[in-house]
Amino acid sequence: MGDHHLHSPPPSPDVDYISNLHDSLLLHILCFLSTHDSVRTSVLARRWRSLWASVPTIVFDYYDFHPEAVSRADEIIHQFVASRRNSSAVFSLSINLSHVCPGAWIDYAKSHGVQSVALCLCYYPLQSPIFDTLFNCPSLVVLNLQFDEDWPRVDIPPECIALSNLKTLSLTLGVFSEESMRMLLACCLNLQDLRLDLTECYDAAIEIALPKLRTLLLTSTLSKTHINCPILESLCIGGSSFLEEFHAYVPSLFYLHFGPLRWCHPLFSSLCNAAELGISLVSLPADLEEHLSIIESFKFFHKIQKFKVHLHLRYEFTMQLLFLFLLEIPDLHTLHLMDETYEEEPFSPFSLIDDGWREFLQIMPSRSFNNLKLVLVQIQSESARSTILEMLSEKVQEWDRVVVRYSEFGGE
Amino acid sequence: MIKLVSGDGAEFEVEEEVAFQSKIIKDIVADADDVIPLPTVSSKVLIQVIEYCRKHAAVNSFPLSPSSSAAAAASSSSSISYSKPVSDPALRAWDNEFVKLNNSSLFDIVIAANYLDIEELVDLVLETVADRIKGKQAQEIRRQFNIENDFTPEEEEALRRENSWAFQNN
Repeated sequence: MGDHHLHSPPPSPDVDYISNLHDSLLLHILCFLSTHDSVRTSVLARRWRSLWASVPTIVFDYYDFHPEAVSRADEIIHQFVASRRNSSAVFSLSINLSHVCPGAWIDYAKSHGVQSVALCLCYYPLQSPIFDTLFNCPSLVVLNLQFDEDWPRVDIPPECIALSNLKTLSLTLGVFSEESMRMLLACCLNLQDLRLDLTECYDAAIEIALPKLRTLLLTSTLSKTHINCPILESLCIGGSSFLEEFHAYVPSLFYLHFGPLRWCHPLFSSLCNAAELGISLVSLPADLEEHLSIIESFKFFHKIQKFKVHLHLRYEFTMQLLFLFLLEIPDLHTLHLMDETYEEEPFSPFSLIDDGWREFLQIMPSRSFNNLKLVLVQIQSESARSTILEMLSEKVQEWDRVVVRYSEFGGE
Repeated sequence: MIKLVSGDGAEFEVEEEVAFQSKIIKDIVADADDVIPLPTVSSKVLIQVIEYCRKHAAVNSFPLSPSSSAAAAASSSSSISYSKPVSDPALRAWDNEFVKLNNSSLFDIVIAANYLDIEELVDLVLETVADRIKGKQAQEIRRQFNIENDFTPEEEEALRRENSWAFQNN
């Protein structure tokens, strides 16, 4: 390292650094703002007067509008689009207002090379043709659609779908017919990230067969779910539903996350190759039989090396289940414990550990983990923390070589 | 190792993977042991830029499992940001600390990062600047960044009228 010559004078507090930036950097700043904020910069100084008209992102949100103006949002957005500099590209179009009809702006964005579209759509009988435009947009890379309730089932003509560059797709299932959904996914061969939200009443089969998909998030599983994604790395399944069929060909799966108790379904055994698992033990079933089925399902996940678990230490059986699970995953490398007990709830964490529980811990072979290297603890109560770590230390072969890290709540 | 020389003559030896966070340096370096003069970058700024590159090179060389990006995807609902989101929460927290700087330091860094073509650093700094503009009235923004209002009151009023929808307070 050479000498640090810090001879430059301290910056004068009165210098206007921002206006001296190159146009491309100023436009880049404006890209991070809502369209309301970016239009407002026009009055700062002459340097700023026309910049807003070339910003490649168009972002309108319900809450940006004055309550009296929100009913005129349609007209306002039209006025804005008309006064934009027409030669400027549109990189992204994001309109979070359900009562407007965005058809014309989609056409505009499309003709300006739009790559990212996020829309919140409510149903108007006249609105459905917008899908013909939206799904026939090869420049699109990111598409995020939210739908109001009350949509009837929509069919998309298969010849209208051209989304060959789409990499990220997020939408509500249930708006499109089963056949249209199948066609839509079949046309997105370059998709890498997919998120599907389910409306409650949608009970159909879904087949997700995407050769380039890396992450898949299903807020719930359909009764029949087929996944065939050879390079899928990450799968999140939340919510609950009645599962009849679940087939997954996911040989590259690495990370798996389940919402409450979804993970214990025997049909998920096809996901057993994951090396990293996140589960929630926050809401546990009340009866013993269900507990047994959970314990049975632990066996699927014997290859887990990194395990993150959300706990609710107040609940009886939480600790038993945790340790039973740990027994099934001898290769465990990293354990991340997160207690979700509310701070306000005063409790003595281990009043629940009765003699039966002590007995169980003794049966459990001590020194059963050889590979544990790292324990991350997010547990508010100090006594709970030390009790758990003490119990764990008895089960680890070389506890003094394990790194234990505490992290504060919300401190990520 | 690659040697970077700031405009005021200070020399910094950095590992290749740290220097290669800059696309420009990556493009021009043919061999290791190169000396790269950066005449427009002061040592003060270069120290900060190297600190950023060092942190990001370390994280990038141990690619995080997709878990964090999936978790980020799960938690972020619908908003699509212009930039690529930093998926690792620990790195994001580090970035947030890194940009707790006054405006003039931020602009020095962004000019250097833009020159060195470190895309993620440009995004990070400009998003921070944008956060300091968000939701504020023109007068506040001018004060914050020392922008001199060179409009006549009539001109400013006409501009506000032209896009009156953006100037209604809510």
